[in-house]
Amino acid sequence: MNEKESWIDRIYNKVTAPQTIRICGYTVLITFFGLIVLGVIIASAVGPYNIVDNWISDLGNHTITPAPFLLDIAVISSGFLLIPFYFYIEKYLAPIPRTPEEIQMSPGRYRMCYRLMGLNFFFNFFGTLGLIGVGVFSEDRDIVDLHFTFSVLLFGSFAIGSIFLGLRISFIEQPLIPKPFNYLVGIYGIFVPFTVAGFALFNLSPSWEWVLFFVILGLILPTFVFTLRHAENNLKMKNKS
Amino acid sequence: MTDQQANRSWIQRVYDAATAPKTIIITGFAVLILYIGLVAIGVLVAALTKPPYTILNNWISDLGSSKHTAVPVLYDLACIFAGTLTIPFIFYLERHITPIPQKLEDFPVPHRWAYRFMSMGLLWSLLGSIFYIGVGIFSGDRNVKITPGLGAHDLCSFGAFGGFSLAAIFLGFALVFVRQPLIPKPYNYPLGIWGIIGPITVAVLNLVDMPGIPGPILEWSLLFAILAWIVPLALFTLRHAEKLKEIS
Repeated sequence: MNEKESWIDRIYNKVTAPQTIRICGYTVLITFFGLIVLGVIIASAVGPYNIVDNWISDLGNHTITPAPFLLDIAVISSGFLLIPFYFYIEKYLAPIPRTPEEIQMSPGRYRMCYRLMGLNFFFNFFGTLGLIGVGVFSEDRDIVDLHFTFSVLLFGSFAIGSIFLGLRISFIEQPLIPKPFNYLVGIYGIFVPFTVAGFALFNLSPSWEWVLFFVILGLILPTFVFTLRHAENNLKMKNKS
Repeated sequence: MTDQQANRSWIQRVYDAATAPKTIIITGFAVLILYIGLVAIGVLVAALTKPPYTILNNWISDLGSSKHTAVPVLYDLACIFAGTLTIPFIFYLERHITPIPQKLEDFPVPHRWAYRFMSMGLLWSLLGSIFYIGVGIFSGDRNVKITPGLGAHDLCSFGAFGGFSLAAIFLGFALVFVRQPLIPKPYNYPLGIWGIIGPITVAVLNLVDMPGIPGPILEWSLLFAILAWIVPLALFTLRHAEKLKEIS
């Protein structure tokens, strides 16, 4: 352990360790998709719920489903578990050398990497805040329209953040997503979520909200899987050495 | 020209020229003199030629409307100059607060938060500058309707004030919490804290209805709040650029 490391640095290193990413990654995949699918099944089987006529948020409304806590738990836990994942992506897509050896190991650094990843970090952070807020102020606990505010923050931030992530992985060399997948994922990230978010904003309806949800997942999920793969590789290398 | 200079791309050459201390000194003094000068003359001309123009009863945008002033072009030019000339300035701030670590001499490398804050500061400042150019182009006289309830001038005003207010928050955080060479201690603290809370507070007051306070006063207050942040920042940056120029 480096004696000069502050406690904040130690927490940061722990949070962005491959092992943490692996644990958080699999947990979020299982809890988020498991609880959402279970929520939809229960709401459709017991209540009048269907994904064409109902908002995603209706899954958190006790008048529509007998288990509104499923959505609340899914979004709140995912919000927290996604935080290490964003730190990890930022750490590897905009590495900051801390020792002279590190600077010599990877000499090519572009300002645009730091700009794009700094922006992506903030927009993902706001998106995560929106995700937790949507769960805390669910339709059952909607005080002063906070549920809608957090929903807009959630979808808007992820849609804008994906543009910056898309630009970073498409145009600048990076270690997370191998070629040629980086072009597919990146170009999708630049154009699709933001465009669909624009349509959804001007045609506020449950079906558009579900479309936007799947479109954002269409970027997050592959990025997530490739990041998990990168963390697994890092862990293997660490174990070998 | 050295080999290293010759190998640079044209984008890198434009960036280096735009953020050179000499450019910053020229654009910095130009924007301070032109913007404040043109707005002050604009107010005087409006008050004298089309009374009763006052900053208590009229919107800032009225300075660009021939209904309220004989020379609306003064304010249009002030906005276009300010928007254009602040662009090199924000790139200069970013370059010196967050240098990119390329070689051993670049140590110590700034903290990661510096890069995060400056990336947001750069984005919102650029949006603010671009929309401010838009305020000049789509002045009160040329407020083309985009939707039935929203004109191009209104959109650009929101974008400019919103952009500069949000940029002030992130740049303010960078000044307060990150080691930087531009604003010496202890001046970075009051200036940074003003950046974090001042402009955005007045911007929010503009968005919510404040009973008893006329809209124009709030709008002028927002302009003064942003100027109280940008002018000292510009002066310290000019001082830094002057020093760099002397060294080189």
